[in-house]
Amino acid sequence: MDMAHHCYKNAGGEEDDRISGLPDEHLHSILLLLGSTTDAACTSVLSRRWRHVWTHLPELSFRYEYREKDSRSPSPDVDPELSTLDDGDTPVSPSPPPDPSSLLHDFDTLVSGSLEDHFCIRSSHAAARLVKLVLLRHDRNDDDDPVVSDYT
Amino acid sequence: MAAPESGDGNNGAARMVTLISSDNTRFEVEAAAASLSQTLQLTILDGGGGGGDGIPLPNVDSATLSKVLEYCIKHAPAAANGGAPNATAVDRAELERFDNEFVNIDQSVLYSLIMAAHNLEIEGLQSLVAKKVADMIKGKSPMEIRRTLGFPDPTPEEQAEMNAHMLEYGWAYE
Repeated sequence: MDMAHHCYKNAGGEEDDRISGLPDEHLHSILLLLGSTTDAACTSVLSRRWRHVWTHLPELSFRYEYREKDSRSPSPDVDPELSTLDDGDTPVSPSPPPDPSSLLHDFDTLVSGSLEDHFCIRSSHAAARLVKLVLLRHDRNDDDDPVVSDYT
Repeated sequence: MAAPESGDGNNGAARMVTLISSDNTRFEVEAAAASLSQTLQLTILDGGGGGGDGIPLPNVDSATLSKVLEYCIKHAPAAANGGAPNATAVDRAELERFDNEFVNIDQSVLYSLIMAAHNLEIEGLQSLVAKKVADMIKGKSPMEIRRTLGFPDPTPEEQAEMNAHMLEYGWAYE
């Protein structure tokens, strides 16, 4: 790295891109701070360099809004969709979460299609060591009560 | 480099260590500040870096090391207090102000800091610089991110590729 600090400019008058030159590992720690894997996936469109960076994130985190409709009985089979994670090399076998199982049941019916999309696009996702589901629940009091389920 | 008041409980002057940048500049700094680096901490605990020795840092140039040490010196007292549970709101606000100002830098400096923070394993600095870049990306459209990060304008082929890609990844852009 040169000691003298040059400030290159591109046509737009901004500095030239240096961030893309960071190793994947460093970009991962940045993408994880975006808060959701969906946001991280958006960076894949930036350039060829960024195309696959997000697909090797060590943690996956999805946020879905859940609107409470009526009371439901908890369902024992919580996560049929998450079993699609197993199609990669590293088996990820999520254990049922202790608490928000009924939420997850709704969650599944709500987003099963899009979740499947997520995991079918890159089976390398299965390398993730953590899958985090953040469910934003809007109940009658209108207070957001995030339910976070971690699968490790 | 100005030494903040000693917080290590030893009577007398705080222990100093010498760090040597890749371009052979020597930096004398309190051991407590340098120890924010996990990489350096063990060496320092083993008594390294004192006297005429100095710890060589072949991957960090002097401009970057100077900036890194500015961060370490500022954060060392709070770190010595175990994350400063008894820090006053004023102290915390001052650190926050410092941090905000600290990352108000050119992208090339930011790049060097990210590399150095990882290299030296300075946890707080790693988070700070990663957050700075995340903030540059957050809530922006791909074209806005490209502009913020300083990508050149896309060629027609690139633009076509981006459009096709956004169709394929439509779910991410909803």
